[in-house]
Amino acid sequence: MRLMVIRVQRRCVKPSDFVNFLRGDLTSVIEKLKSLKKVGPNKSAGKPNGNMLYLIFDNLELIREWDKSSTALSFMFNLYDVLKMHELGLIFISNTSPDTYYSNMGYTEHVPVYFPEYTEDDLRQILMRNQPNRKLYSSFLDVVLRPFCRTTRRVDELSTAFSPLFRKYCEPLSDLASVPNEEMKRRLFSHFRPHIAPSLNEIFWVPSKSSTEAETNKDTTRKGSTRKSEVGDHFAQIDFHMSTSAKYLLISAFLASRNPATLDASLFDSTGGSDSRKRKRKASEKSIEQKEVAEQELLMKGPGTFPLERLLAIFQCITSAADSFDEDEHENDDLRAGGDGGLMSDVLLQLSSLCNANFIIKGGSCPLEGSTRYRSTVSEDLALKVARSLKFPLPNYLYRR
Amino acid sequence: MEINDGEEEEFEFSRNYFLAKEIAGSSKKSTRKISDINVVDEQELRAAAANIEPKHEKEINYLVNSYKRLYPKWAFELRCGFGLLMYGFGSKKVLIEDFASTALTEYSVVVINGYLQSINLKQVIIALAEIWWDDLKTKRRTSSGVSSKVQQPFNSRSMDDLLAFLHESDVEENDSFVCVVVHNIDGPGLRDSESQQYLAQLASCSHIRIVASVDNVNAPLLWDKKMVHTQFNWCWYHIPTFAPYNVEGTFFPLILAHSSTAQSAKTAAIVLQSLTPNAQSVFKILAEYQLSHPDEEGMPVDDLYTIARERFLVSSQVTLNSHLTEFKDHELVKTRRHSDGQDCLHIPLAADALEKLLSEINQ
Amino acid sequence: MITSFAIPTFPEATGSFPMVTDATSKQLFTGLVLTKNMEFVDDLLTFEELGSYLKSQGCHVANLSSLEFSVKNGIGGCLRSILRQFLMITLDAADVSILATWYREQGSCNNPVVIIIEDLERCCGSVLSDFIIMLSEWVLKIPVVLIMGIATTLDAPKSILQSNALHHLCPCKFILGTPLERMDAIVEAVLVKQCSGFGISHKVAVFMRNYFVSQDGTITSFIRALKIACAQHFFVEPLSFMIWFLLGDDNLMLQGEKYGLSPEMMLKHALSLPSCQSIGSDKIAKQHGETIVNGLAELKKLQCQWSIVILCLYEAGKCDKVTLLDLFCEALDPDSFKSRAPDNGGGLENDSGGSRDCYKHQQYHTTRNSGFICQAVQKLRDLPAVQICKLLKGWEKYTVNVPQIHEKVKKLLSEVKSEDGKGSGQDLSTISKRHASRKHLKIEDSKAVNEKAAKLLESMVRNYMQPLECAAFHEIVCFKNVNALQTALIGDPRRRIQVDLLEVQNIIQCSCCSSSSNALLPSMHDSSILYTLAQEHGDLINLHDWYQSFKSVALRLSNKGKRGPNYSPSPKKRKATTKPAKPSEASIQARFCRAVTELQITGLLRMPSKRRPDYVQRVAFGL
Repeated sequence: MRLMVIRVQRRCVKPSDFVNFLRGDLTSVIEKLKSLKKVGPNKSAGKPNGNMLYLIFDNLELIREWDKSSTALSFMFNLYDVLKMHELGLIFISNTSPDTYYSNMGYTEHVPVYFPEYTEDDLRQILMRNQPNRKLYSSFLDVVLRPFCRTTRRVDELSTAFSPLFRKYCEPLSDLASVPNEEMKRRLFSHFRPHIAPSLNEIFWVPSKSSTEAETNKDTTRKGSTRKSEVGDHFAQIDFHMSTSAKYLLISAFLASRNPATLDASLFDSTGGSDSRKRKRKASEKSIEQKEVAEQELLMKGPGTFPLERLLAIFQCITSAADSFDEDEHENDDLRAGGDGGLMSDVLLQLSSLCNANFIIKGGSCPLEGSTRYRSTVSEDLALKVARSLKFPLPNYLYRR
Repeated sequence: MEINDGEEEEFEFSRNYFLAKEIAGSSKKSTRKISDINVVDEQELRAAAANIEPKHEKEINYLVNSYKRLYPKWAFELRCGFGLLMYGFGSKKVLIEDFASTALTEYSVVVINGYLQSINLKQVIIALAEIWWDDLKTKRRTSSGVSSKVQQPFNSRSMDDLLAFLHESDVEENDSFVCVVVHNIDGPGLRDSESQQYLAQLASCSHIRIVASVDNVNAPLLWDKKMVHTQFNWCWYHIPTFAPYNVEGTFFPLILAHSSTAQSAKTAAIVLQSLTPNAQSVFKILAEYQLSHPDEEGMPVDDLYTIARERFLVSSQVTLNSHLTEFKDHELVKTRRHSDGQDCLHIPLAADALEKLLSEINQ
Repeated sequence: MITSFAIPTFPEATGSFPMVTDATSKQLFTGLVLTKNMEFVDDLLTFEELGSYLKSQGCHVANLSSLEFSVKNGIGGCLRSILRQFLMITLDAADVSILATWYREQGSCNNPVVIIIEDLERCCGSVLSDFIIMLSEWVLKIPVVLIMGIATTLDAPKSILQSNALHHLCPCKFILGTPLERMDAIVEAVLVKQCSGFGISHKVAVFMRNYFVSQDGTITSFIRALKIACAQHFFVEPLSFMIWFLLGDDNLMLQGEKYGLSPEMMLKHALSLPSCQSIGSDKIAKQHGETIVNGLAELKKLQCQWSIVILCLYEAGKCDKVTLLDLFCEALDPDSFKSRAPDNGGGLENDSGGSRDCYKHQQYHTTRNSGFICQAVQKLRDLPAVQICKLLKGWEKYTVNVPQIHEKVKKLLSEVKSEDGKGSGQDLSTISKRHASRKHLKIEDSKAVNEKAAKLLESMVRNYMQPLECAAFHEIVCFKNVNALQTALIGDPRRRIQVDLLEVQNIIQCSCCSSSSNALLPSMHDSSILYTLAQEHGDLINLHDWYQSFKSVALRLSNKGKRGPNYSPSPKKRKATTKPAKPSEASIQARFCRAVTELQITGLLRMPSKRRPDYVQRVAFGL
């Protein structure tokens, strides 16, 4: 069987167009094959010597994400019946198993061919191809292959994960073509070992140029880390610049998503903090319990949505509270924007900035219609960091932290 | 009563909101309905609406005239490259158009009435491109300066092409520009993000300036910082005019008159009375079924046919279908799909309106 | 740079087949640019200029924004945009093979294609992932380098992109300077170094700083505020064209005539400026002669000195992370200058005791004994000798134009250098007790230098840092109107429109509606009445009840306010003078409908829906 590259590019709008074009092209290809065959079986080995034409569809699972995927898939599967060409064979390659393609519509039964995962030996053989220094790479694979195989056996993921690791493995070596002996292997291993565990969990490892790294090591007095990757989460402060108003809004959104709405009145009363307001009527035991159960359920569901007004109400509350707190400390300051009125005036723009930075997700409809709901996507970690930078006691406001 | 008076004011909003939500949950809601208001006849209402006496005419005129002394400042800022955004309660249409016709006479002005229900921005941009092209031609003294590129007619170009054309500016003088006046840039036809992006790209062209008005309190939600600071470059102006929203309000239904239940019940009654008695009886069957089965999605067609045949109202499916078509044309009946897959018929009226209707037919 | 061993043939290079199977060679080199700023608007220009720079180095560059990665447009949208930037045409059916063909036709394949994506967080993850996977399949035919701007942290790609796309990236990170650093650079170049002559008052500066730090956070808006201030200033102040003089143009009088101002008019206006009046007209005649020109020249000189002192303060403050923005604002304060003036026995001598006050960080106000200037001066006392030396060298550079300070700085610098010389001589000797004591002496000496430097700085601040607002004629070049700037920069429609509705009388100023009590009068604007009534309700307003309250207000006898001399008992006269009495039911209903429509237009109400047909919902609560 010979692979021929024939490039055809046509735009089809309807499935019938596709079928017609395809039929026409396939027929012409088959004619060509037949004519080549007729020339003589004794000619060079590059001749096609079979009767069949195979159409191969790779990455079939991507069709499932299309609009109207069920019709597209059934169209694909029925292609053989539609084309009615005996010389044609269809091969579908997919990452997902055949039962994900079952639908209500009938189609011709396929012959499933299953490719099992590679074994470790297979992987070793595959990865060793094209390596300049086989012994060195082999010793490297001895170290990494087994732990990584527990996570994935895909060749593409492994090779992309291994290439930077291999560079690191070879760091102490001055000559990359040398064949390692036992002692060197041990040395390389001990140098390399601390890097294995962290890299198992990293999908995305970002090195930086060594010069900038050296500079940051000088400025910040943290202990020299052996890893070159960014340790952003471990810093106790946020890495990027945000205005104060945006920070408060972020915290408000986090609280609005996290706390059920029924708690708002008690958390955010006029003193903006402790619950000093007496409840007007005493609720019965049962209703308190019910309320608690409902609130617990709400917590389990994940971050909730909230309307704009609730967000702004919480925002105003916490900024006023913070303001009054500040004013006690400082002397009179008639130059500051009065109260929180300063922060409230521009808050809608800050909201759109937070949405653009993916901290808040907006529901689909137009915001001016009034029925849009928002949801906060900020992790508690980041919210705490932001609150700390503002000296805002966030844990006091969290429901069942 | 400015906001800076004391801390109590600052908490007003949030306390109001949380209290309001609590009250809404706990206290008893008033159960009065709109229909309890004795709404006068719609014709009379509309006539009265057209003849509402304006209040404070003298003071409003004085106020609007006082804004006229701001015109030179606005014109100056437009020339500096800013966009003007007018807000405040009251219709600003007359004021802005007065500004455009007195202070902007040397520039071409295109007006977009944003309060209309739908707006074809592409047409607007085509018009702008044509105006700009004309301006360029008249300003270029030497004809050799005209690009030899064959100009595709504007209305066949895509939006991106038009915007790219407007962006290229090889104008020598910096003072000439085309002014785009957008009434109600937050209007229902322009609210979607795509329109706002197009408007922003338009505003960022170096020789186009925008003068716009907003009425919605949450209007800044339409824009992000790139649009506000770099593209539109808004200078906000608070100019409440308290002029009535005559033009802008025409697309909003009158709340008392257009309560759809009252409206459609009346039209339904009128239509029914014009139908044959058989058709009316068929309709009655439907109505009775709907009233006695309020939770179902409607009456299955087959059931209707059976009952209609029993009562000798129709002789065949064809006759029934013709009645149903007539009902559907007058929007008396709607079809819905039942969970079994059957078609069900449903009258889009509330139960009490339906009862009223039935009583009227029976008369 | 990865180079290939062979050049593919034309059909191979422009078609999707043959495919690359090895995963590592399918990787795209990616530069992740951390902008350190949650807002992307400040970095738009950065990426534009990066693109221009790369173009000048021979690369083919396409700039994409996140809008081209929306779900609606899909991959087709971004491909169309790329093709438009390279091929200058718009295609409906954009395909990557067209890009390959174009690239091939460019000739030498040594120049990579660089695609710059300005803001990663706003992109739609699935579209971007598909784009990356597609590019990686074609990377051998179109060598692409991706540059992505990331606003938040390096975790952003992980959360936005799919993992099979992440595999295809071979990333390297680049970190930009923080916005605060950039702000300092801007303040230095634009405001401190007098590039234009235009100045802002202390209150305006504080407002703009607060706006940057607490509200908006973007440099773009800071610059825009400055532009608005400029526009407003030039519009209001007739003599503002004299700024040209400060930039070196001497033909002031001619300029005035060009604008229709005679010299007498100009002088009269200038002398009527508040700054001249407070100084006293006879003093002006003594100090500035009789022309404005002298006054402006004096102003220019004072400004130069002022900016020099600020730059020296900034040098000192850099070691303690004091930002130039804060120093600038504090230095503009006329009150603190006056209190620091020598005849006042100013407060700086007291701060040895109050040194603790100087270390407050998060402040924005300027009292005498604390603040950033004080902090910068204080830091000077703790600097090691090497840094003092560097500092003094910087000062030497700045103070070239002011001989008095320059001399002192040079003297101090030579002292420091000689200290160093003495010190280095000592290091050669052996460690002995005497050496230890000499070392101690050396520390003492260097401390003395620090003290001298601090004292020098303090005297500079006291004597040479006269802010703009203390000079005569400063209104010509200085913008002072904070309120105008604030209202133009930040519209507050939420609050203002509601205030419009609730307090109509303040704006309209009519006589019929002003009442001492808060009662609603029927002569008030209908929408205003309705909205005021709405305040008493909770979340939902029952239409019926609302209408009834409106009706009762409308029917209130409108002659309450009109009693007085016109009120006469005789029926005939009463009919003539009083207004037509009760409005009809239809007209009340019509007014109600129209007022509700108006409130709906402002977005303050949500209309009844199918679920709650009898209620309107309040949207905005209070101010």
